[in-house]
Amino acid sequence: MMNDIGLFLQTAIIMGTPMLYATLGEILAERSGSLNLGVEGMMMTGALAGFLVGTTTNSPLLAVLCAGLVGAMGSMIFAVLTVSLKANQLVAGFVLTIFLSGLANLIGSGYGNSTLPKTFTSKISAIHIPGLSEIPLLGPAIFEQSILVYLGILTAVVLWLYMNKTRFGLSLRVVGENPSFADNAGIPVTLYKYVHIGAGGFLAGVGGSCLTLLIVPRWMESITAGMGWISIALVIFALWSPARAVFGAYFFGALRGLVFKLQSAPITISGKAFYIPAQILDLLPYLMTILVLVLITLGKRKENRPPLWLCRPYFREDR
Amino acid sequence: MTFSNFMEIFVKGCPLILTGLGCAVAFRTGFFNIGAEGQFYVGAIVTTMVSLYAPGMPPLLVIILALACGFVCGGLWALIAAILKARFNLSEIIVTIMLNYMVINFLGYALRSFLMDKAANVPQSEKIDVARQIPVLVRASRFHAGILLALVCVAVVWFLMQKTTLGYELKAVGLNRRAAAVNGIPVVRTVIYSAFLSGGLAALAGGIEVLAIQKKLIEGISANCGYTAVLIALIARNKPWAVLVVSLLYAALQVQAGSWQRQSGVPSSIVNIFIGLIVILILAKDIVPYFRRKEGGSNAS
Repeated sequence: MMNDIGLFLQTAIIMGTPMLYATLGEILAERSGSLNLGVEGMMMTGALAGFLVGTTTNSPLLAVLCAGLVGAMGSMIFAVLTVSLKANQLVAGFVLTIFLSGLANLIGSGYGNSTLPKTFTSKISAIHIPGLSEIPLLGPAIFEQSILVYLGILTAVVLWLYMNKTRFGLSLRVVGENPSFADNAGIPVTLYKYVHIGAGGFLAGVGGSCLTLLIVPRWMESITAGMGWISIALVIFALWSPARAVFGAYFFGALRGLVFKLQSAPITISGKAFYIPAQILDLLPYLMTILVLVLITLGKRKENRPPLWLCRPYFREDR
Repeated sequence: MTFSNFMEIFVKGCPLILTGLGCAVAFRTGFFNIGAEGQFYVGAIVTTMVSLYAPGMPPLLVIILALACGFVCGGLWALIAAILKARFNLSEIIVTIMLNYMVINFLGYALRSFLMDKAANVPQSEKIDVARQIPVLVRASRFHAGILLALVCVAVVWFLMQKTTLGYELKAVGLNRRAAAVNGIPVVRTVIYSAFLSGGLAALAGGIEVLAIQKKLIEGISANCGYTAVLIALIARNKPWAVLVVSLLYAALQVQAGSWQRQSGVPSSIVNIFIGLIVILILAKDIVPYFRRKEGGSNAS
């Protein structure tokens, strides 16, 4: 039993990792005042790019880096449209998702049957930390994970420090709250927006690559299955803070883990076994997303609000 | 282009017109409903159930009843997002997308349990009785009566938006929510009307697709037209007649892409990427004045 729970926690954290990266990235973009709805599309292209580079070069580092760069390239379309051309952010982000997921599905349509080489998966699979991973319950969850999982947590910590303890982080928050004030204070608003939208795209791409390199691990059509959208919801859950994003992402990872678990193991009530249909289980994460959002807004305090200038274009001339 | 191919443009255009109209109505009110995909499926499921299980009635009545039930249920489904937006200020975008995934999963469940055709090995519903299907109007093609209904809907929505008080209020709320409220327009109620109409139109598309084209409920019946509809409404700038034109143009591309795929193996999904690119370019149209302003220096406003 203890062993089961330990394995379940381990799965939860793996499953939550793609969403963790994407959520962290979106937090960066939203803190700069840009609501980028292209996360789903950027994850898709990242997933495909990571897989293709992984199978050809056999190098996890290159695969993840390229996935991130492709995600960042996608986000630059959004940045040009919304920051420089002042297009509607919602429309630009949504169209980006449609465009990028269509592109990824088109390019990836021939790679459905290929798999990653064995030597690649062994490089990226879970690292055993001897001794510590034997600890009951939390051992496997914390001390027996892939490097990508640890990097995700590290990213969260670094971003938290960046946003709360550095001058750049402070400037970033000012840009999101009141860009004209930031401009007056000499902060390069446009540069900040571009950089953080780009970083957001990079992290979304990396998150996508976790799916094809670690979790699934192969390419499938529409592989993200709404994870990008859930990540956008998780940003609200996390109240725009990287620290809370970790809990949100792992919570939804646990939910997905639970779905897998219940599909294979029936629930026994008074000696009779019940299988919950797989499709019903699959819709649970989406339902939970809505419920969690409702709960968050119910307990709303004044400081838990989005950046003031979120989703509004900034016209320097109107200052 | 052969005659049946030409008629196929209308056949493929029909669901796009209706879902596009639905999106256009919602966008006009400032309600960014991307749930047309899910509402389409709600309409398809409800229409199928009514058509299969309605007791003996005149067939025409069953068709009307089935489509009407689909319309209402699709509208109610869209209302969930509208109410959550009004009550909790939740982003309708996230909520409608989540609702889409929920319906698609639910459809998968329904087709493997209570709606499943026991005789078939694949997840699909039983075939709908021939009398209860929407009839084909033009011989040697698939041009069906539902297309006329879609055209009527375009006219009705245009009339509603341009010639009625409700339409005026819908547009006013979309243009400036606060100004509308100050001038005594009940904003929440207006958004709820618009969401209901929007969801209903998308659901009608689903119902027609079942009764006229597939004749049974299957998975993937929408062929992503709910998402395409968003792009169509954006290109059409939310104008009903423009939605009609853009939908038919899109359908023509799709029909042509189908034959390209057969002839030279170009995947027909290229149309979706193409249309996405068009919207990106439309969004980027300001790039020309942007560079002119840069060159012109201070003489620009």
